Amino acid sequence: MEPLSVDITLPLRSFDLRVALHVESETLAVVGPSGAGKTTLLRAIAGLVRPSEGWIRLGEKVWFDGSVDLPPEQRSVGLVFQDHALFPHMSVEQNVGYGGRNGVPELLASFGIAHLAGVRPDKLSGGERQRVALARALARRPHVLLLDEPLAALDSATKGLVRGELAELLGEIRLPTLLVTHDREDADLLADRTVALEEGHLI
Amino acid sequence: MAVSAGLAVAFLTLPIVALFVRVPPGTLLSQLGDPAVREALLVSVKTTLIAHAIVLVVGTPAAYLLATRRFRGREALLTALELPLVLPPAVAGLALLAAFGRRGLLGDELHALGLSIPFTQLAVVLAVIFVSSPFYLRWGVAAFAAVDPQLLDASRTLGAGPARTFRRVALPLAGGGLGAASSLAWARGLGEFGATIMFAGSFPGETRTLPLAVYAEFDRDFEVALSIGALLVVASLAVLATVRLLLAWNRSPSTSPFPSARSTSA
Repeated sequence: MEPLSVDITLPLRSFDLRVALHVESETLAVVGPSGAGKTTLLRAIAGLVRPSEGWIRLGEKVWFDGSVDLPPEQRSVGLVFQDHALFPHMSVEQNVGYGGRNGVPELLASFGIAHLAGVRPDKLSGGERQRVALARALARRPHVLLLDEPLAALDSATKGLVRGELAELLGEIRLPTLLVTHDREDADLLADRTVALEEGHLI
Repeated sequence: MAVSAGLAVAFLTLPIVALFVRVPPGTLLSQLGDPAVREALLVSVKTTLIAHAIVLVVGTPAAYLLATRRFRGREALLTALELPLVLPPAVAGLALLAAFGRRGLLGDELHALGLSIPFTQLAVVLAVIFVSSPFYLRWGVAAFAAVDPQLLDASRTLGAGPARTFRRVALPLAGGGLGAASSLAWARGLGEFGATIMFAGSFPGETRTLPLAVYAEFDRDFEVALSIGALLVVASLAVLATVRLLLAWNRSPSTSPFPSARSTSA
């Protein structure tokens, strides 16, 4: 897998987000308080917000620099949103198949959600929603995985279980993975490396 | 309090009830066979269908862009689009004449193309679009704005371009609100009177729509005028029921992630 390289500046309300990162086939956790710019960093890598300057590359492929700005659909990212952002008008199977039709049954089976294929998201538990969101992000066979507070939407009982599953999955897929969280314990248990983000700067 | 509520209800319902007391259902149906009524019905159906198709085709993407893009002057533009909502209809007719009339702003260009719009069926269609499209845009923008923007982002990161995101995510999730907006706009267009009579005149079979026929028959045959009136009341009730149903459907959790946001905006 090719490494993800990021060096960007992006003005936020009260400070600038200035981040330089290099992620090999590993899980890098970015830990910081809410409002530090964590979500914006992920959105910039996914192409949902435009940095004012800098570059984003996957291996040799430029996603963003002074002259290039690939739209989100042309960047090979799987972004798992904090509150999952499942499509409420589609079944689990349709959600997972939205980005890539191939191998959906296998994916549902490997995430243990095959029995939920025809169910709408509003009928799912927190842990189930999380699995659907992950399966949907991976269905597109992305080259980078971005996880925004993957455990924050879960109650404490579910959290331990999902954290174990997620650690196992991250170990298996070996994609350059960026995980942002406010919880240092989650970071330590899930990531190979951890960096801290405060007021837009890595420290 | 109870007295004023009672007064309000009585005042608003009495004229409608009176209309139906004067026209029993049997008479109503037979009066509708009157050639003048059939002619006006045909003109109304034809012009509102064409106008409404144009409003939907142009208005839906426009409402989506206005709801999802942030740009300078957006608020001013939204206000300008709402202006026809509060404009007196006669002034709307005057404004249309000033724009598309023989001596209007585009008069020379239209004349060069061999087009004369005022007092034709095309003028009826334009008048209906002018007064009804702000309804569709206003509530259409609200319907699209109530769709969680994160779902649109999710669609993009899953490989769907802007067009597919619009079709597969925004449109279905805003569907109920758009349907309600569409019904309101159509009802406004069907009832359109002032702008039409100023800009298109009232020629039987050509530009005389149902509301204009009510006015014309008022002098000639009061019974027929009443029947057309009753017909328009029935159409209005049907629209209201449709709007209610669509909004209720839109609020169900399987189609709307933010029921509260939608109910306050709609």
